[in-house]
Amino acid sequence: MQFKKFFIHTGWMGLLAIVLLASCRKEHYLGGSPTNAHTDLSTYDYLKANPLFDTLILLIDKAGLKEMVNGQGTFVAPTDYSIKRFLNTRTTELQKQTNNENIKYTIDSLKVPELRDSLMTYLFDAGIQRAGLSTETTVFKSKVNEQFGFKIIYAQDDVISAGVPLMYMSKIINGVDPSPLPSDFPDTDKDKEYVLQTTGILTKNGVLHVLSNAHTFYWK
Amino acid sequence: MEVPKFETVIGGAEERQFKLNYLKQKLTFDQQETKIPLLLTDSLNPAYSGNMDWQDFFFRNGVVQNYDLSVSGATENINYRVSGNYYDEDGTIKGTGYKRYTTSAALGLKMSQRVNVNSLFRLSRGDRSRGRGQFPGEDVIPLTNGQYLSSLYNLSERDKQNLVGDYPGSRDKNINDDITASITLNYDITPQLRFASTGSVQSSVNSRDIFRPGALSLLGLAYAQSSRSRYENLNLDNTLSYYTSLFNKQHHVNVLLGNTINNVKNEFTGIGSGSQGNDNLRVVQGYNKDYLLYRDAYGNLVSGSDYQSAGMLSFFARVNYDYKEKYLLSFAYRADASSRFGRDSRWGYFPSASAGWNISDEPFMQPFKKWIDLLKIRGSFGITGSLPNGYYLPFNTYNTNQGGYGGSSGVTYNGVNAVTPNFRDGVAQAGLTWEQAKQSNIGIDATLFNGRLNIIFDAFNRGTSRKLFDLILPATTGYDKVNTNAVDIRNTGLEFNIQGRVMSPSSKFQWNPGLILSFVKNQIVSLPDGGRDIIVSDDNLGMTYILSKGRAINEFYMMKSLGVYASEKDIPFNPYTGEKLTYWNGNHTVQAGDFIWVDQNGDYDVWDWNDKVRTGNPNPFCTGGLSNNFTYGRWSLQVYSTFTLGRDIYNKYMSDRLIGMVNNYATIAAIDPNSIDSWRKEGDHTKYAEVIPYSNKYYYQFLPFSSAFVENGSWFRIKYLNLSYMMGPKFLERTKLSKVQFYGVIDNVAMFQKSSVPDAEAVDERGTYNGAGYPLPRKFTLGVNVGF
Amino acid sequence: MTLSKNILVAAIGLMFIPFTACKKLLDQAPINSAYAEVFWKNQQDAEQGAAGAYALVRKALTSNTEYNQNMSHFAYGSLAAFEFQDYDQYDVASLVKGGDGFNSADFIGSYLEKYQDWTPYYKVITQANIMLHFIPQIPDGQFTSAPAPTRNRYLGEAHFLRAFAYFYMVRLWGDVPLIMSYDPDPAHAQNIPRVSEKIVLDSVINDLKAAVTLLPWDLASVNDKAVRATKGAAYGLLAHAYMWRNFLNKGANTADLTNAIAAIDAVEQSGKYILLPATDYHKVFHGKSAEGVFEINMQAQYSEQQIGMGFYYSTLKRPYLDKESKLDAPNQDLINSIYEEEDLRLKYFFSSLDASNQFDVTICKFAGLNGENIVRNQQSAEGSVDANMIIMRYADLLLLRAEAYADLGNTGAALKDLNFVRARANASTLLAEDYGDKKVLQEEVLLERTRELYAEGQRWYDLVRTGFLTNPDLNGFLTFPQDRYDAEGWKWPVARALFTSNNVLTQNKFWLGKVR
Repeated sequence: MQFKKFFIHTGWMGLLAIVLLASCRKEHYLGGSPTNAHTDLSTYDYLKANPLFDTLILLIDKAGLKEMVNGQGTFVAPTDYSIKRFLNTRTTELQKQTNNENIKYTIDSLKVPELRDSLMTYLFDAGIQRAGLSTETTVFKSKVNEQFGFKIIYAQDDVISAGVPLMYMSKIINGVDPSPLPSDFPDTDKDKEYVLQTTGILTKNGVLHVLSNAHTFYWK
Repeated sequence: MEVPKFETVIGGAEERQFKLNYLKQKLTFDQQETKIPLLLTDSLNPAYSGNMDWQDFFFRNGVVQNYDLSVSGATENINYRVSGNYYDEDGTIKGTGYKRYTTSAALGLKMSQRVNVNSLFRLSRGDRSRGRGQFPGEDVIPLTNGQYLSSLYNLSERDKQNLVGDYPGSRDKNINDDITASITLNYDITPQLRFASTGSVQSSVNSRDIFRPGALSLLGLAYAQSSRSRYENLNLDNTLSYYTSLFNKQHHVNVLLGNTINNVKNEFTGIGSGSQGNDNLRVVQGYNKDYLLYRDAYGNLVSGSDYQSAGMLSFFARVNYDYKEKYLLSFAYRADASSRFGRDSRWGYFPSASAGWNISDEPFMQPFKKWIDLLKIRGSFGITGSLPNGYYLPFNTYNTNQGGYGGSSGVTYNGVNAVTPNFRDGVAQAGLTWEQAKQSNIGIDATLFNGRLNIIFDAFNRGTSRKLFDLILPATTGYDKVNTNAVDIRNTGLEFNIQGRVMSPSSKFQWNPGLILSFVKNQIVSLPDGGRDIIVSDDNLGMTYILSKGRAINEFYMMKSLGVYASEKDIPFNPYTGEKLTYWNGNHTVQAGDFIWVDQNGDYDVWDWNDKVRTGNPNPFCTGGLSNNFTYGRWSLQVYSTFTLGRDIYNKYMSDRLIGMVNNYATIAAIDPNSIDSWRKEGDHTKYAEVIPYSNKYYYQFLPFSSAFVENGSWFRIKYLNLSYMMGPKFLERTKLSKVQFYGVIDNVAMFQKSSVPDAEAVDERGTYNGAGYPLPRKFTLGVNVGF
Repeated sequence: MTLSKNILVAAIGLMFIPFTACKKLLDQAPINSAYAEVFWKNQQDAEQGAAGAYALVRKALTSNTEYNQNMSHFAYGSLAAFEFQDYDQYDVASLVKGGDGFNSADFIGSYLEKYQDWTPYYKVITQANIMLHFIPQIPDGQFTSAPAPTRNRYLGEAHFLRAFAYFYMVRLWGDVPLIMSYDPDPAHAQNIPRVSEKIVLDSVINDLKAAVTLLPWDLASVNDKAVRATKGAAYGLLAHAYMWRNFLNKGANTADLTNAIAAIDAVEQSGKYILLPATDYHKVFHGKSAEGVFEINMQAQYSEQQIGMGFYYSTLKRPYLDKESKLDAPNQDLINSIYEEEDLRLKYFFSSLDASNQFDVTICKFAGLNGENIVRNQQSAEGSVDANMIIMRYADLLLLRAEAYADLGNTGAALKDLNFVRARANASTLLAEDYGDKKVLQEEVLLERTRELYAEGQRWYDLVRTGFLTNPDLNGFLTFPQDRYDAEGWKWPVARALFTSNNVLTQNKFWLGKVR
């Protein structure tokens, strides 16, 4: 009888404890979906859906390169900001040439053959993905046979102790620049290097990267 | 132990989408070109594609274990008690915790009829795990602007292990060894005259050994540290007491004479250095001069040794007199000297006197004896003294190795060690002396209704004169400041302690409530330099406080904010120039959505140089505790609550959060901006100004220098709940135990507060909440007390 | 009974311990730092105290704003003096490019508050006052070298450094509070008002005259050359002080000019200083050379160079240092207009002068044309500059004497000094017939000082002293308004922070109401 009471009492204590322990926890972490590299859209459709590329889409349409963009391989897309900067540079040159302050260089002023070559230099037959790259420059040829170097640079970060692996693309001028750069290396030979602000999107047809907004279209 | 209340955040891909949408909404086309960081755009970068729930990662429900064992016994001449204790508490933050082993022994020896000796030994070792704490000063949890980091950071396994202190190859030992020993000799010279002498020694050693492998740093630089600091306290107390009754035993006199000798010592030896050696070597063996860590971020010594010591000598006498135990008088006098003061101001003299009158013992109180059991009036007056923190304040200290300057850590000038006076805080006043507090009080003790109601009431007046303070010196002296007796403060107040027993003694159910209330008013009586206001800046927090004669201490001193301008037409303009009000010395023209800051000096520009006023008093009006004890048979329940009413606190946590949202929007955790009461569109009346991430209209508006973040800091917390059950005699007989009691305790049951800070109790003594302290968790304990 | 008696005796014994242990318990002095009562007792203390004073001077001359560049000496002396066209750093850019309604020398620019604060100089003065009070009390027996000359040397250094601190402040703020004696109770010190700049300058000259008598020409240790004060340094500073006093008196008293000339004559006649050949310019700037008169030690020998910050670091670019940033753009217009083609200083002081991007032009005089003064090691992978801060050198003093002669109208003597300095740099000899006009001669002296002392923190004071600050032809066509110069707007404002808790301080009248 005593033991029964003892166990009853212990039972109540335990119940009390459990009720207290299992107090309600609010849902504090909303969302939490992992990021998916794959998209069902083709490269062209993906770019068209993003307002950052609407000028690029106009250029692709004008040059008639939609099929090629949707082909297999890699497309490193410049953003609207890069194209805008390019048009501004051309405008300044044109104004100096013609001595006319009001003349502007717009998309319409671009000639289609030149535009085709300009855009095709951003297209690569090979699939350029992060896994195949290292801290040494790997050279790829674009569809117009120009050489570009891709590499990974680890940026220092307070949170990620190993450094953040950023992907860089550079237009190779007169051979790959030696690293470390000697102090008397001529400026004209230096490769033009830009970081890729978005990397590794796997579209229905191929791979898509996006160049930094600081880049000027057609590597000016 | 339960995890504390969590912040609601958005994580994973939803966070990225949410932040990008928000930025596209708030930034202009041109700003978006450069302001959106790679953390958000490079979604598939292995370092940025994370889904990290920081709060869940760091916090855990922790287990607390406590085991106590004690054995005691006595014979005619010897009594003893030996006990051991093991306590293990898992901190609510992973990787932190506290483990302690204690053993103590008390021994009493009656050497003869007149002499007995008591001794006490206690040894304990405490092991405090620090999580990932590497350098002193590194946060336990990585925070930016006081906020958790974004969930998008994808940590490697190595980083995750390191953050909770689990990284194999890391070493962080933080051990405290304490030894306390005391021995007391009691000698009854005559039955009325007793001599007692107690000698005690306390020695605490803290050992810290750290190793952070080079694999965790991009440069491959490892860090090893080994430091030992020791605190020693030696004390000798001698007393002589005499008790006698005079004149037919109605007058009683008790005299006590005594003296105390005390010496405290602080020693430190340590070394901490980065190194580029092998990660298998986890101690400091040799060091690289270039990577030696001399002092940590707070100025504490890491590499080197130090020694400080201070002594104190006291003499005291006390006389108690009572007549028929009805009229009570007591006088005491102390003289104390400390080595911390200069030769001429070493001694402090502290008299005190008190008197009491047991009114209830008077014959004229007889008719009230039915309901007044005890009524006593008492009053006292006394002076107490306190010591400064520094050991060597009377000395004009000199610093060696002063050759360092911007960009160079060399300690010499042209190879010669540069020695200068300690211009920062090393000038001393020879006349520095004890911080004195004159205190007087009147009180009433009453027990009424057969012990059913107990009231203790005190009204007190406590002035601290010559409070030690850092006074800024003129620049022409070369010295920055001096720590001197400068400020007089008076605290006056009332204290109530009311205990009751609601039910009659015969009832099986008992309810004993108790209420403690304390009302304190704080006032500055005098200031140095002719009583001019002193403005105190806290450079760490960025906040400013003001001390003015006649007002409470540590009032907030900042710009006054009245809310937010809802629309353009509400903004005032200068009638002489037609220009709108500006902030920040004309650098920012006020627009809708900005704070309404009050221009105090009429120049149509508001900034913290000229427009500061008093905006809040962090001293509480009332503090107290409410306790309720319920017993029913062998069950008993104790509920204890504490509260504070009537204070202003400063929500620096919110200030940091808004600064973080403007400057580091991408890198901090994604909280829904709609949960913050900030201005969004014309016509909005909100508490906080418009928050635009990466804004180029930033004018430091969210710095903690305006009263926009002053909030009501009153709170009520149910602190402690204890439910226990005592087993009955029949059970005890059966099991041959003398006592068995089961209990369950909840600490930090519930909190009610007006302010929006996470915890209104966790503010510093100046009333600032900065969210950086260790969170107060809710603890559940289940236990059993068994007596053999 | 005996047991209890013994215990009683022991107990009473215990009670008396306090009275015997009293002294040792209550008289505890620190062993973790020196303090006033035990310092200044022997030669080592004096030597270390002197080193402390120089270290305080060094700290004052490298004080900082918020941007960790630690280069106040050059900010004061070079940035506002039109030696630069641009400086890409938020705070000091306002000195070069102006702002707040000024075309240049915007002394109230944001974040410049620390430069308006004279507190660091008073630490030097306090240390000097302490030295002058305590060193005479060191007994002869406590000196390891000959007592009298050693003691005099330290006292001379104290006089020199005190004079240097006041001289520096007078040139920047004008009137400053004057403290000339040791204060035994600084904790009760009161604020004192500013004293007229002329009186301060008089006390500077008195201090320097005392220093001249006390200091030797040569120091015992070769390692101390130029980085510790000598008689030559005292004469040099004395000449500068006389020239500044002449400026304050607006040329009313030519005695100042002749005194300045006499001081520099003494330096010349000592034979202790020479002009190094142009190929050894890098040695001049490395420091402790035969041309250095007074320098602040910043050499790598004792790891005392600035790493990652400082004027030398900030103004150097690739290939001298492995850093990306290019903060400064030297004033190409000024450089192109003042140097002749064959002037070797063009070669040794500047590199990439023809660069199209103004930020690529580099002042390489401190680093050495071929980077002779650059050190690279574990601490400073980018490279750091192993060069002293040159306060005065022999060329500077010769050109100062030329200025004094020009002010007196003595064309021949002025040209002699000018041509002597020019000869070292392979510049053409100036002919007396071209310089009949006193104004033209004075302009030439100013230009020669500009050529020789480019970016050494001297030009601002030269421009103010000669009044050519307002002459656009001499400044690469940049201007400083004449009305601001006349209203003493060339002086710096007094920092706002100094006014808190101080109601005897007044602001410089040009800046009244402007300081935020």
